Amino acid sequence: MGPIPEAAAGPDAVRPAARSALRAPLLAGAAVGAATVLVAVRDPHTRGSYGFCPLLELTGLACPLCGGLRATHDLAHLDLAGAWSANALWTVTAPVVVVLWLTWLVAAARGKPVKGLSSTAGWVTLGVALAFFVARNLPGLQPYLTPWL
Amino acid sequence: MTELAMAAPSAAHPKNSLGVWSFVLGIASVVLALGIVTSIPAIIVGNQGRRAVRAGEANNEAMAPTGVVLGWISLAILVAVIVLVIVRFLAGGPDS
Repeated sequence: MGPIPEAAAGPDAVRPAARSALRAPLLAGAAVGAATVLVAVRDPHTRGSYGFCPLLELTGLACPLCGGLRATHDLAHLDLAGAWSANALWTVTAPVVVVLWLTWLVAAARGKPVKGLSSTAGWVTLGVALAFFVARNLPGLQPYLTPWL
Repeated sequence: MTELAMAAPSAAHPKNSLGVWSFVLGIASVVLALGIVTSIPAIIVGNQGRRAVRAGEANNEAMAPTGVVLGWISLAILVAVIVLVIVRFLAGGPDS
């Protein structure tokens, strides 16, 4: 009949637990936020400003993330049209990522168990990314989805 | 059998999604050529998925190791390609 730690500790124990649970989402948010500020300040539209892409360099193919830095830069400057032309998929996905991060933050703050992304979400992500990869490299769609090539 | 097992994944094996995500990230790093962006997460999540299988919290034994292997293959390809690009640049190829 030992004491049950969770029950015995009472409501005082909730706060430190919530604080340690908040560390991961806050650190992730700070890291992504700092990276976004860097991309917003240092313009990725300048060729070679962030190095080169081996795939684009060797094959001329645009991967699903091609234009992602430029789209992030444009989104940070509230240039929706610019972001859309740089990477339409990322322009749509970035707000979803922000919302997912917010739900993570809220769940951690309330001390609720954080549910990871589901298997279904994984398969959908893979399917959408594959479709976008194929579509943006088709000659007919390239002017719309990869206009700089 | 497999269909029945996949119909109710969350109750008995709540961490099957780790293996699935490792596999998805591994495929993305090789097939979609996302390289280091997804291969390192694939390796990290894949090892968590392997741990979940060992703990009995997941039953997709093959998926997480596949993601880990794909992640390492992608890293190897990336290193080879970077060496290739640098060699081409130093050799002064046609479009270097």
